[in-house]
Amino acid sequence: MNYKIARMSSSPNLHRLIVHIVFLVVAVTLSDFFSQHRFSANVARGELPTSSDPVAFVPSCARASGCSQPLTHGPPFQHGVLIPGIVDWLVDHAHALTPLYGVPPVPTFHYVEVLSVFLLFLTFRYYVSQFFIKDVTSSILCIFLFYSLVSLFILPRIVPLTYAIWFPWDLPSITLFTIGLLLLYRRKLLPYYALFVLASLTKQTAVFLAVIYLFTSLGRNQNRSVALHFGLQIAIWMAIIYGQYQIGHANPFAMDLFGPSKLGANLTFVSGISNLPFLFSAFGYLWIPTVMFMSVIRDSFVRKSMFVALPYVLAVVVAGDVSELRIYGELAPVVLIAFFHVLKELSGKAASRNPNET
Amino acid sequence: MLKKAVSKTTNEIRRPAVSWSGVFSETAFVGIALVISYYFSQLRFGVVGIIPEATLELLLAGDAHLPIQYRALIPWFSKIVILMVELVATKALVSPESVFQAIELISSVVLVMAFRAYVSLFVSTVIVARLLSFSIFFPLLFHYVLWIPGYPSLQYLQWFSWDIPSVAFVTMGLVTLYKKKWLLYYLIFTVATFNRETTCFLTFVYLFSELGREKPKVIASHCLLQLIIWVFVKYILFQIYLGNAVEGGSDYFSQGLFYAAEFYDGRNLTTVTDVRFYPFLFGVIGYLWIPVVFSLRLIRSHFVKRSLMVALPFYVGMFYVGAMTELRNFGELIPIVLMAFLLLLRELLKLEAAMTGQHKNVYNHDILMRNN
Repeated sequence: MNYKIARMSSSPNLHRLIVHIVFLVVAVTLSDFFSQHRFSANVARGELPTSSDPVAFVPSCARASGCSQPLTHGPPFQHGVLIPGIVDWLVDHAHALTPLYGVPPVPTFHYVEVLSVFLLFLTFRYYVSQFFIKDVTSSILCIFLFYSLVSLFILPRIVPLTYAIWFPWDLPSITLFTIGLLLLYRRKLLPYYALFVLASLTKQTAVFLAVIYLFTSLGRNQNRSVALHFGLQIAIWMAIIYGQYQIGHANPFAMDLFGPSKLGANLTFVSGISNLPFLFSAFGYLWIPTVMFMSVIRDSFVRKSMFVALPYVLAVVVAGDVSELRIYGELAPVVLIAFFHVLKELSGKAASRNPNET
Repeated sequence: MLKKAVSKTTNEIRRPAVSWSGVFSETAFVGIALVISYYFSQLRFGVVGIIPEATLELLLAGDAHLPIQYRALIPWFSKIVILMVELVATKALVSPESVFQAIELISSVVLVMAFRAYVSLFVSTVIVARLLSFSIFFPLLFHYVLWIPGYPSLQYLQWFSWDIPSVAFVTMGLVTLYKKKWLLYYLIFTVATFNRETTCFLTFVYLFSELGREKPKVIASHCLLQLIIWVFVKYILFQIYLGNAVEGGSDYFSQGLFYAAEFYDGRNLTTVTDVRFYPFLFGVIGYLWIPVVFSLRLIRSHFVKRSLMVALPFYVGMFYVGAMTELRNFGELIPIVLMAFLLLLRELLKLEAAMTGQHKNVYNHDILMRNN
């Protein structure tokens, strides 16, 4: 084994370069594959689920082509203004690049999605590389992120046949959440706050970054400092949410600040045993071994950040729809990094007991 | 706390298989396998279409188009189940669809079990082998659930009753080949050939893995025996379904053994030369072949490494008789390539564990040392 490692690293720079290039090419490919499937297999809010023809799909956006009139969401959907705003800006200003036809909204959303997934892969690999020393390991482990995305955003619920709903902020939100996680891990608080504002403009689940900060800082930093930072993040978040509410509360489909509680419907769904195989499929079922073997995780940040799943799921049960797996997307980097640690620890134990495994 | 948790896990690993914890963990494994298989079967029947030439009724009656009807094992088995139920209960209580669904569910569970047996040949720790064996579901999604590229957009995949059983049979074949349990292997090989003719690629696996390690005479005799069985089974099926209609309405015997529509009309060539198809074509085995190809040196098992060579004749064969965009055609490669990926992943993780173990003092939270 040692001989092989020595051979492999005989030209480490070239080897690393090859790993990086292959990773980038594969990441672009996966992003395109994922986005094409998502735009084919998802339905948009405001459209009927097209179970007979899942490819007949009109994206929900501020001004989608094919919509008879502009579709402007009210809260809570108007809270995710960042991505539709960017797309609208691109559409309005694209004449400089394409003077004849401009850029139609739907392809732009598609490209934004591809770019978001690609950036998510890059960010996630960088986050994984904080814990795994070799580039090739962190690159290969990213494939599990791809599988998780497929389970959360593409695979439908079968009984009754319900396709996932497409929203423009879903993937960018996970990307920003992962960057936030990375900055929290590195304790780069100044860029973290800038990121936190952007993430809150994209989706209100950014508040769980503050919760992760709280969980991972308690007992590590001074309580006063932790309380100050946590309070500041909550204040920023509330200011953004309230501002968006004030701007969008008169729009069509407007709801209360967080929409009506779906607690009753959620509890009914969870109590149906036939729904559980679908519900458990979140993150490609990888959360199950992660929870079962959480005790072997040695890294305190990874272990403590896993506890954000409790308030997150609780919030979904009270205010969200538990059957929409896309809602759990922001937990993907949190759960997966814990899963990788479980794999590493179990493999390390096995290797120490039986070093001669083929 | 940490020490306690780690030692607890280690103790669990070392306990004998008949202990209560062993029974509990085995039950948990089967339970999780059932849950995932259930959802997978739901997906298969929920979002995958059945073509008119191979409806369940036609398959049961033996009237489906050729070569679809040649994959006769599951329709035969379903027919037996339906007949037995009708004997026990005077009224017919089961629909053909529910029988096929049940067989698909059982096949999925058997596949996980078989794959765990295969993983266990190389991974001695029971918990790790169990954990890794669930990974079989990831590539299965790409081959048997997700949409395929078509014109003008993505299309539903086609459902066939032999798809999942064929992956399970190939996995069992690999286990018995590796262990050289010849009686069991030949039994599986014969039964599996009634399910799908791709069992011939097991012979290639045997050939590639034994070349240079076994006497040529022994290799030749085993290959010959498998060829005889394969041709014999194909001949029986040919005789039984001699009068059936042929898929596409043409007599494919006039153009060779198969009517390779996608080959002759140039669709396969168009597909592999159009870069827009590549994200889909590369999705075979859930993209896991890519790290395997680039890190072959890290795979230490001779059998696993050599068995990968079967991908070459497989792809050449499918380029002629199958559609390149239908990844389900390549399903039998899943256990072969996935095993290589898992061994590669395990090597890397062992290496990581060893390296981080060397730097235990900085391991917690702030390890930024890069050693590559």
